[in-house]
Amino acid sequence: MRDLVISGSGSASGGTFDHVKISGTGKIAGDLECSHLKVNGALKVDGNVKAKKVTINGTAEFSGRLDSEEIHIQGTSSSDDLKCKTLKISGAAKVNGCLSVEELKLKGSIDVEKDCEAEVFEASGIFTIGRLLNAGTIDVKLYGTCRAKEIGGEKISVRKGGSRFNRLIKSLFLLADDTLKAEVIEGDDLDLENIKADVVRGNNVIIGEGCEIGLVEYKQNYSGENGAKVTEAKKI
Amino acid sequence: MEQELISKKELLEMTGISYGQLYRWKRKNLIPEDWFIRKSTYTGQETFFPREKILGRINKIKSMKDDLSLDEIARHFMPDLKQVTLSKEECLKRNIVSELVVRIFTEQNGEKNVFTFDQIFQLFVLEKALQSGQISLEEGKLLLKTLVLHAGGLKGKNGELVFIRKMGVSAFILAGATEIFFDPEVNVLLRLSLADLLEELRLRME
Repeated sequence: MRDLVISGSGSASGGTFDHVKISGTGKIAGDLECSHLKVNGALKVDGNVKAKKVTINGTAEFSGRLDSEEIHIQGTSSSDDLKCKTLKISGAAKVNGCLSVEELKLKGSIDVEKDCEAEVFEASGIFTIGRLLNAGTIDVKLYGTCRAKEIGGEKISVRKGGSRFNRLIKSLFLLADDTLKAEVIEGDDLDLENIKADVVRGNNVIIGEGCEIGLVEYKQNYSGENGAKVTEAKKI
Repeated sequence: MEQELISKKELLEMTGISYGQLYRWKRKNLIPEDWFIRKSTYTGQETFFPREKILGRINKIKSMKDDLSLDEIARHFMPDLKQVTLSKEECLKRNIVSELVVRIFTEQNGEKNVFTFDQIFQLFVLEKALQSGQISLEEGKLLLKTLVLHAGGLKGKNGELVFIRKMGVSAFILAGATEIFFDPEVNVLLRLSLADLLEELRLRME
């Protein structure tokens, strides 16, 4: 099958290719299907993309859906609905629709306009989820302000990121707003730090330092740290 | 379309499942998105479900989940009917559509011996609308045209067909899952939920 290579500046219509490599500025008008899409410069696609593997080192803008098995974003990317098996982000990604992945490893930032579904959601970056974050395992290390309207899952763990020293430095410069804000958090096993939420519901709930929570409802176990502000906690 | 609702809390209590299970099933598409009805209550946001539908669905999932994987169960609830086709004779024999409806279709789209699932659904909606006695044959023709044009855009949503008349002039409305309000002079003659009809059709085709 043919390759599509744009070095310098060029444009192409969509189609089916083996490798697609953009080292410069490229524009693709139409749907694109390929085995590996690699962007080292800037790419604009006016259409949907289906690829086995996607690597973005520069910037990529997709007007449509992005569907792949493996996506690695080290630069910036924006797209409509994004679906893939493993998604690694050490740059910044914007999803103007729903994000559906099996495994997300986030070290940079992601902004999802609608729902985010994942089996494993591992974040040590910054995220904003416009509607529901639904994941089997949610493991968050906070390095900034993260937001999700609702969070639901089986195991949810949220902790402060960074070493004690780093946190001290940050607090000296009044940059200590490492929190996760959500309206509702629901799950089986919850272990939370630095959460601001209206309602937290779960089977086993541990509320740690820096939390501000209106209502905690738990089925089996509940423990609250001294440094946590919980207006009301009740057993269901 | 008033229906009895059940809160998420009550649902978990009654069925004995956990939050995690409910979210996992939602992720695996075992529970349709539009059954999650979000409402503001005095304790903040709460989620409600159509009571009978969700209880039935959860009992089914519980009874199947020991033998089948979640993906297999999902396929069971959402069989891939897009591939299904039926011959004209088959549709007539199974009482899915009447000869009259097939004739209207043939007039508009030419002679066809085999129908795709989408076409069968359009015919089925027309059949139901005609059976209700609220629309005339001419209006039925208009309805089929409307369905052919727009039904694709309603796929997967809780669509509704509304037939109204005002001062003797009739019109069809195909609406997504939103509430519609009419001016007082409008006569709403017919409202059909497309999702319900789809389920009914599925049962008949099995």
